[in-house]
Amino acid sequence: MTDEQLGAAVAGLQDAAADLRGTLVREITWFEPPDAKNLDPISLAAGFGLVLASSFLAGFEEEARRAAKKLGRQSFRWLRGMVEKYFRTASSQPKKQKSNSEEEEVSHLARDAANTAATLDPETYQQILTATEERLSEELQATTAMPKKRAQDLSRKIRTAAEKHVLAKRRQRK
Amino acid sequence: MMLTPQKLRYDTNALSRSLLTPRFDYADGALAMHAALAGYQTKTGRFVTAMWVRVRNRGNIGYIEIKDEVSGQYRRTLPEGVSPTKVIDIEVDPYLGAANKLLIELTRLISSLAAGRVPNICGTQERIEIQRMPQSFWSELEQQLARVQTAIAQTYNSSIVAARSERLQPRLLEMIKKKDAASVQQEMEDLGRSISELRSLYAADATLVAWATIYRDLCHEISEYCKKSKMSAPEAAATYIRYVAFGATPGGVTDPIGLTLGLLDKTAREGLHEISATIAERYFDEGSDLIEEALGKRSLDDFGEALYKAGPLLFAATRVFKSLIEGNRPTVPESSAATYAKRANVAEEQAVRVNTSLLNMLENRAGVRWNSHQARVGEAQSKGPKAADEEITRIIEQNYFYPRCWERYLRGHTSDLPPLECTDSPQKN
Repeated sequence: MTDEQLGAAVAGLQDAAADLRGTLVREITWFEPPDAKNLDPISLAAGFGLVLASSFLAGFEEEARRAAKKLGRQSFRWLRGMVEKYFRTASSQPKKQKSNSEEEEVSHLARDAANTAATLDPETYQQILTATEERLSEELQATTAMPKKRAQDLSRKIRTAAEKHVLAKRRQRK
Repeated sequence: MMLTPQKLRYDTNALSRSLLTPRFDYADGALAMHAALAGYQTKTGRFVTAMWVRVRNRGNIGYIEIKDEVSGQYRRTLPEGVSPTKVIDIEVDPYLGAANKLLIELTRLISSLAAGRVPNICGTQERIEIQRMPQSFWSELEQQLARVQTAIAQTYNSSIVAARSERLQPRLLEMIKKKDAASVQQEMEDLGRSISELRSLYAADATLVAWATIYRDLCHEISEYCKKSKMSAPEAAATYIRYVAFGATPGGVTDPIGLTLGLLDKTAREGLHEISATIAERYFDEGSDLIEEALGKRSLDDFGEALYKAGPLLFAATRVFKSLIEGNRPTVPESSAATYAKRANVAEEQAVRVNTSLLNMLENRAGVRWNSHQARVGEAQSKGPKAADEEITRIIEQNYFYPRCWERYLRGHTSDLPPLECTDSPQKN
């Protein structure tokens, strides 16, 4: 695992977040806690794209592990926590930068998922992507009150962005 | 000034769509509010954005947040956490009648141009000219504005509801006699179709469309629910009749909003809130899909048309979700109420953006809004690409002011008006 891989994963995550920004500006209300005050969707959406793309990658990693070791369904167990934490920080200290440890955690997560993707055969890779997308959609519905179709659409967009900018890029470099 | 026929048609459509979404008084109120804000800005030199405003309208006082040119939900009290010292005071002129004035002005302008005259731009010495057009072009525009004028009249919606109710009554009696729902179902389908047709002719506001759609769909879903449940056939037919008859009582309520709320209240009271929520979800999805479709358009008129179709669906979704959380709802479980509250909030937010975008098109007839949007992007560009991207996202993705294809025009050379079409060729200097 090299610094180059880490750098590529971070850049990929940022590109994925940029792809999601337009969508998230419209969808962010679903995630806002009831006591959210005067949050600006534009500044929120940029950071929140990172949260959702990372969440997808974490789910992908867990889904791959589950497929390999036949573990139980645990994907996205941390989605809710990440969302809550993100809005808590945004509400109280909108200008606060992410701490180094948080950034590192997300970068490692993206790199690990990308490395895992690079080891999978095409069929398994697609199966895991689809399973991750479905699981994320279910979790979005449970976490946000988002209607099913809306959650499916958003989940598909998150998958596309994460796949295009992080997973597929790493597979191409394999 | 040389006016193109395309621009005149587009302006006529923009005015018609805005006055009918959700309904006339919204546009009138919003225009009066904008006039009051403009007055405040002229007087103080301060631009009002991301601020709470205390609005005085006759004896009424309310609060509204102005954010990115979009007015939020009107509230009776200032929300917790907002400092009263940071709220600015605005007095709205309730008699401004701005929307009606615009309708009258445009009608006069079209009549004048149709007669081959060269009128002045209202309040100026500048003359308006247009190429010679066939009579059919002028009569189409005149008829469209006449239909809008009819549709915004105070008693129009009630008269439509009363007429449809009268048509339904003999069919309901027939159904009771023959125990056959077919003719009533057909009539309900026809109701939805005919009001949609009126809408496409600019002769129905969003509240009338929402009434017809909710009434038709709710009765249909209740009929399906009865079929699937263990109800006996006569019991199922009786339930269906009760719901249809609720909206078609001789001499009963004819206000579409009142009727819609009554019907929704009835379903909630009878523990059928999930049926209401199902149709609201469908309206929300369809309305959101239309927004997405609108943002992908390459003509401003097509963009406005898609948003005009989205308006009644989002209005309906908001009304239904709200009806499930407002008032005493012992049949709605707390967990469902939380979901409905969130959905009502999102649906209303989308509905407001659609209404504001339609109003933006109307207020942009002389390019005032366009100039300000281009200036904002230009200023952001001078700060760097990230700031410019954010401004574009704000204007297009957050507020739906233009389709996505207009990004390059917003970033491009300044122009008096937004182009009506997005072309593949680079923008001319």
